[in-house]
Amino acid sequence: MKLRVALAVAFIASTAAAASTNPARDAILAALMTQAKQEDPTFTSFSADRGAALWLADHTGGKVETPSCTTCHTKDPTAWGQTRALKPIAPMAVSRTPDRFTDPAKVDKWFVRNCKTVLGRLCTAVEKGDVITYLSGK
Amino acid sequence: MARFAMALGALLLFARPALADGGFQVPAGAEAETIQECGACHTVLRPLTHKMIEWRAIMDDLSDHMGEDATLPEKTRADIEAYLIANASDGPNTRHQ
Repeated sequence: MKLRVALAVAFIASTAAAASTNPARDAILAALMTQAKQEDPTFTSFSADRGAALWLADHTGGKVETPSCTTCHTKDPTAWGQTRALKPIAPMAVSRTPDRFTDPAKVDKWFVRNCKTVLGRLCTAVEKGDVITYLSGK
Repeated sequence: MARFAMALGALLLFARPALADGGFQVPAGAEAETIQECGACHTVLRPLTHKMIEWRAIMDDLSDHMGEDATLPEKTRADIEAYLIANASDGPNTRHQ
């Protein structure tokens, strides 16, 4: 019994550590931080709260069918989403999909595509860093 | 004569890849790229469901793909297009089967 609890605690601790310290994700965030500081030299840190606000808000400027990130991803980052063409999308929360935000090409591709679709423009480095920070904590 | 030889050489150069294995050569991994990239958003249609000219039109207009910007890096786009065209309903890998 004790062993089982200890194993469970160790497992939870290890997944929590994996979620917050993935070197590939840290490198992506570091690159975004560099860009963010170029855009604004006084910028200091990404914010999960700002990321959540952007993620959950209804926007104008993009396609009317997709006013929000949550249109496809749902309001719960730990839940599966669905594309407009009905394909399932694995949860965006890093706790559920641990390899989220670890492939720079994939991250670039989907931010370009989805920011255009939802916002009608590209996202800034700050916005991308905020969203990744939000979803990494979920 | 020299010009003829060069023309023949050029013809062989371009014809060879297309004729490998008796069919149109598709870049390695193109089928997997097709399944991954197209399948990320929608059900992957089999190449046989369209003619070559239809696939070319679709793959030439990815910035407005069913109203969505589905732009891909050029190499990925070209690989997928080659796979779809080669195996289209009237494609070179389909016709003689």
